[in-house]
Amino acid sequence: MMGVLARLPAPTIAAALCLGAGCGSTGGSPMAPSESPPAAPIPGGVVAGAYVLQIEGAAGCLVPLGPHRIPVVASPTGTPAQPGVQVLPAAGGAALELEFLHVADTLRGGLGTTEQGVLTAAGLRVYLRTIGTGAVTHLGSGRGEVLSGTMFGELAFSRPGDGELTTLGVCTALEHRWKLTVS
Amino acid sequence: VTRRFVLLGPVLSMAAACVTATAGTATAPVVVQVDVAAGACVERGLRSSNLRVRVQTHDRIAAAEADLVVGPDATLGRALESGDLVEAGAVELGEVRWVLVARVGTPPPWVELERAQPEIWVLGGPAGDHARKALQRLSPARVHSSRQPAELAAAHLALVPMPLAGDGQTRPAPVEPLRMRAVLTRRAAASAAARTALRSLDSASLRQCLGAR
Repeated sequence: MMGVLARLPAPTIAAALCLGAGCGSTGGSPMAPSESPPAAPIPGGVVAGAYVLQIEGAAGCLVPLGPHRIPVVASPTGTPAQPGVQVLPAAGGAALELEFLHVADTLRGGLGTTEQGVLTAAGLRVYLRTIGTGAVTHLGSGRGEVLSGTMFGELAFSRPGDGELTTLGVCTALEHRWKLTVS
Repeated sequence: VTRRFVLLGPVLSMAAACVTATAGTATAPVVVQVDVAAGACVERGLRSSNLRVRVQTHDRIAAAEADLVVGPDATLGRALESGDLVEAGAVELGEVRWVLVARVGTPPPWVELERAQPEIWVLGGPAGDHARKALQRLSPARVHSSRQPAELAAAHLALVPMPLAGDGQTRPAPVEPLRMRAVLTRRAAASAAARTALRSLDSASLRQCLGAR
């Protein structure tokens, strides 16, 4: 993106930024400075508080398209030598649990549900039995997030009340994806 | 997390129950819970043993309600881990293979399933966990689960353990075999009648019925 901008004449860039910012509609006011581009994520960050867990099946999996969102709450755990993060459903209970080591700005650990699975925000029932990893980043003074995690293992979907956990698909794969984003 | 990684399968449901009572003793019958995958074979074996037993066919074992349980590790796992079963002295019945079975004609080769996308029925419950995963390349809408042997037997094409194959033509399926065992429960550890019933299951005829290796 920045490379494209560098090749354009300055007035063109200014006009584009002006359009993007909606300026000129007030008539006669001096051109406002453009907003600075979004800050790039910075490695690391404290993972604690309310989040949304997003999961998606690996490419080729015959499971409902994601991302599937589950509101969760993260809490620091572990010891100073081995810090960790525990993630539980925001709705309470322990139908879902993520237990991570938080070392070198990376979360590594298990993502799993009970045999009952857990409901997504869209009302699907998802069953997880996976091991995952994801780099922790943050923006400005914000909390840590995982914007691009991967996990391997089993992922299954069903409707609540179905007799089996796999009625909407099951997939064991190496490259399922997950995110943990600030809610 | 590991302790919560329990086996797949919804709530307990009793598929069938029957009573086989022969010897006219006043003692309570030995309660035998059998996984649906082995139900008919075990029932037949115990019926011919002249023991006073009550056989219950389940898709989930509730060890606290039984003296003797028979099933694959997938079904017994939780009871074994919780200490509700006395693993010492368990009778190994062997590995039970999975087969594709066609009610009419010949089942397709396994490698053809993904291309053909047939309607297929597969054993439900914890015992069918590996089989359902093995079918993950088929559209979920074409894969139907059932815990009822009669329903599986009526299907045009089914993926079942050997004892549930019925009379249709079969083809071996690359699904992890079910390791079948008979195990005393903790409540019956001192029961002579339960031990006798356990020993009676250590038979070639039962293994043959199960198609166990």
